[in-house]
Formats: sequence, C-alpha cells, structure tokens
Amino acid sequence: MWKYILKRVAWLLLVLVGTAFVIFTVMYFVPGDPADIALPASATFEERQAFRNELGLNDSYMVQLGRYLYKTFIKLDFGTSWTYNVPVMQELFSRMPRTFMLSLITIVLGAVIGIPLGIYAALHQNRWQDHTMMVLAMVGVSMPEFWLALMLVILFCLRLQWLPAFGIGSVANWVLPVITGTVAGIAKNARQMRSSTLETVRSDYISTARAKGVPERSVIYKHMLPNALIPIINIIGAQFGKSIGGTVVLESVFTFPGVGLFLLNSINTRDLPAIRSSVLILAFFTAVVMLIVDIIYACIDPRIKAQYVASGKGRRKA
Amino acid sequence: MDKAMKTGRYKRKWSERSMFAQVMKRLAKNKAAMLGLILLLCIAIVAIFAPWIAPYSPTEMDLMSMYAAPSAKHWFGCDEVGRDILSRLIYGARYSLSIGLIADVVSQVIGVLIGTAIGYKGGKVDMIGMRIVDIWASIPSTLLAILISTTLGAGYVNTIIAMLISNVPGGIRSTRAMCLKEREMDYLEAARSINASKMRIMYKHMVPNIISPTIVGTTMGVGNTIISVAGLAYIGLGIQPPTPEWGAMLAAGRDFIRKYPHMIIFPGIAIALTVLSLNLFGDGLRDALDPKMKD
Repeated sequence: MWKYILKRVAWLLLVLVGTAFVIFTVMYFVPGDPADIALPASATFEERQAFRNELGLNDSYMVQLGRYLYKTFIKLDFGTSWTYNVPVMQELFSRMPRTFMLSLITIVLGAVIGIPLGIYAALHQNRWQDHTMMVLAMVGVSMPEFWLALMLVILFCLRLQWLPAFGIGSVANWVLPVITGTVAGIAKNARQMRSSTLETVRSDYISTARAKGVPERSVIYKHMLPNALIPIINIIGAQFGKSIGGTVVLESVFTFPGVGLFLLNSINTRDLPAIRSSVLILAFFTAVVMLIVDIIYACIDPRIKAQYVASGKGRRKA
Repeated sequence: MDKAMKTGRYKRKWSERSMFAQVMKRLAKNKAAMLGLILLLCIAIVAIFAPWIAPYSPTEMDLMSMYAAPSAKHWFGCDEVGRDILSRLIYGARYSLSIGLIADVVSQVIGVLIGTAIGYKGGKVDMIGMRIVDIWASIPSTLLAILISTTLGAGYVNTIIAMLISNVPGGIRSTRAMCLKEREMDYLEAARSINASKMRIMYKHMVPNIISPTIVGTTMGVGNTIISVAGLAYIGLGIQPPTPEWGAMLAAGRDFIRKYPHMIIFPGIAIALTVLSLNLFGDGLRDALDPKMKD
C-alpha cells in the first residue's frame, strides 16, 4: 500500500513538471510584446530592450523553458507579476485558500445533500418523489453556472437586497458563490447516486440478503449503500477538477478575490508569470485532490486493493 | 407456427429487424427523450432558417427602442443599442449548436481512434500514451480552454480548436478504459485466430462494441461544450460581442443587470433549454441502448 502511494506521489511530481512545460509552451505563443505590457507607453526603445534582457526574453525558447522550470521547481520562485510588481507567490498565498475553501465547501455540500437525495429517489423509483427530483436535477445540470449566479444576484442582491453582490470579508459574501457552486453538484450527485443505487438493487447479494430474512433497513444501510457509494467517490474527485476550473468564471461573476479572478485579470493584461503560476497552482491542487480520492478509493474497495497489492505492479489508471 | 412462416414468406416486423430498429423503438417510447429530441429539432430548425424566422435583423440598431422591455413588438426586449434580443438569440443558436457539435463530435472521433489504438495495443504504447494523456489532462479542461483561447485569440474557429484540445484527453481515457475490458472478450480472440489484421480487429470489431456509450457521451458532451463556450465568451475569450453568441450576449448584458435584467435572463434560458434538450435526449438514448439499466 505504501509503495503504491509513494509511486503515485512521485508520478504526480513528474506530471506537474509536464504540466508546467505545457503551460509554458502554450503561453510562449501568446501574441504581444511583454515589454509593451509591463512598461508604460512612454518607455524608450532602450528601456524596453533593457527590460527584455533582464527577463531573458531575447533568449531562445529552450533556454527560457529551462530557466522557467529551474526557477519554478528548484528554487520555488514563481516570478514577479508584470502588472502588479509583487511576487506572484505572495499573491497566490493569500488567494489560494479562498479558492480552495470555496471548492471544498461546494463539493462537500453537494455530496452531503446530493447523495441522500439520490438514494431517496432510487428507493422511490418511478413514484412522484423520484420524478420530481430527477426533473429538478436535470434542470440543475443543464443550467450554466455563471447564469445561475447572475440570476441569484438579480434576486438576492438587487431585488431583495439581502446579500452583497461582490467582494469578500463577511460570511454573507460566501453565501451566493457557495449556493451557485452547490446546485450543480447536488444535481449531479443525486443523478449518479440514484443510478448507482438502482444498479446495486439488482445485485445477487441483495437478493441473498433479502432471502435470508435480513430486515429491509439493514439491507439498505449495510448491503446496498456501501456498494452504491463506491463509484460516487470517483465522481466527486472528478468534480473537484471541474469546480477548480469553473471557479474562474464563478469568481468573475462575484468578483470573489480568489486565484480564478487573479488568473482572469492576468489574462486581460497578458501578465505571463501570473498566468503560468496560477494555472500551475490550480492544476497542482486538482492533482493532489484526485490523488487523495484515488487512494481513498483503493482503500475502500477491496477489489481494487487486491489488484495492485497482489501484482505489485501498481494499479493502472483507468 | 403460423401459415406465413411455413410458406417462407414470413415478413418480420420492422421493429424485429435490427439492433438499430429496436433501439429506436425503445427510444420512441421514452417521453422525456422524445421531448428532448423535439426541442432539439426545433432549436436546430430555428438555427438553420434563422433569416426567415427572426423578426428583425440581429445587428440592426434601433435607437428608439434602446433597453426596451419585453413587449408585443419585441418579445424578449431590446439590448443597449436597440437590437431585438429574440432575433439575436435565434441567430445565436447557430453559433452555439455548430460549435458544440463540431468540437464535440471531432474530439470524440479523435478520442476513439487514439483510445482504441492504445487500449488494444497495450504494453509500452499504452503506458507512454496514457502518461501523455495524464499530463495533457492535468490542467482542468476549462482552464486549458481558457489558456488556449488566450494564445489563439478570439473567434469562431479558434474557439472550436480550444474546445477540441481540451476535450480530447477525456475521450481517449474513456475509450481506452472500455477497450481494456473488450480486449479479453472471446469475439476478439476469434478474430485474432482467423488472422484478421490489427486494423480490422480494432476498427471493425472493437469500435462497434464500444460505440454506444461513446454516442451517449457525445450527446451529453455537446451540452457541456455549449456551456463551456458560453462561459469562455462570458469572460471575454472565445466569441466576442457584437456577434450574437449567447455567452457574449450575457457578457454584454452584465453591465445593465441592475436596470434591465431581461438582457441577461433570456440568453441564459436559451442556453439552459438547449443543454436540457441534449441531456434529456442523451439520457433516453442511454436507456435505449442499454435496456438492462431500466426495467
């Protein structure tokens, strides 16, 4: 087991270097001269040249890539933002906790509310409870998140004036971003949990349990649920990646000062060090969460555990 | 045995003939799926025949009706320069549907081609291929799309490319996972034993067996892509105003949210309805293709 985890962690670090390479390469081709972005319009040709030399922008692609990777991974230096003139690392340190918390809260709430609803729907299959819930869930997964956010802003901030529409500082600022992020999560989890439960209902071991006279309550809670929950764990892990990516749009609607908003502002000003580092840090957090989910998954499901413990070759990622 | 069968002139009913016919029959019975299909067809027809259906031109400005609220003359109201929102939504359906369809279908085809190859080959090819996909997919797809459209710049084709690049790794992963399961099946052993070529085994035998989940995935994927494209346009990447794309309309209407919420409400409903119809149809299609799931 430990060997497996170690292997996965090592691979995660390698993937991150690959990710940094992809980010650097994609951003290398961004049109526009960085000197125009960072320096005021009145800067002379010599000043621009000096700026380019200082950042090594006149070097070849390979040299720049090498320097970027060396700085990022060996010295853990994310560079200085061209527009704000502060170390990017410092900015990310203050913003990442907010983005991470927002994602975490929405994922947890989505699971805590969505899963029981899905089970409830499955146990009432084809009755009105099931139908209502699945119609609502369908609408929930079909709405664009940022549009729902705008609708909530219109209702709660502009019409009812209960909540602030933007900013950070009080708990009230978190309410709308959390609600927006949670709706889709609840809907997705409810749908998945319902189909996963329905699949388990038909298994032989459920018939066996019923046949030997296990009370229905205990059939549901002891035999059905643990098995139905297994696929959900994987889906929740994948949701985290989606939610981290989705924060960019969501944070821009609520002007929520997280990494997503920082990334968006940096894109508008073509602030390359800031763009690269914020994407890298978001990718890093996504990867770590996925890894944790994978390990939990392996611990919970004895079938998967057996696969890699026995062969010793490590589980292939499906 | 009835007479017709004895005489050999028994004609099977259409619905007994093929797998395809059976799937269609099951699909036709599913009310939700049919509702989705009808909605989808309506939206597609509206998009195709936009110039004949739209009451006004999507770009014509009418300064007399700036910010006009919904009325009998302008059903969904007008925007900040007096363009009819309904007409813009109708034209916008062309962008959303076509980008969603092209980006998603092409990325699924690429995903199936590559995924089958590495899933069937296995061994080193699989190892290296999946490591590349791991790195490729390590950037959450929305972020990757944002990065790529930053580099490529705005525009219709560039948006499609950005969506394609961010969608492909998911397609490869799911195809490969299905192929790993199929690889051990008896029918492939049989194909190998009669010395069928690798290409033939992969694309004639394996692909048909993994195609139905792929079709369902594509249907649902179009909806997700439409939402992502709208999101890209909303944050100012992707398709830009004044093009009547739904996300771009939302972005333009955001500044007037306080006074004229109708500019935001209707484009969002258009997106949600389109995605809803795709999801309803996709759900129905999955049930129809996999009848075990629903009894």
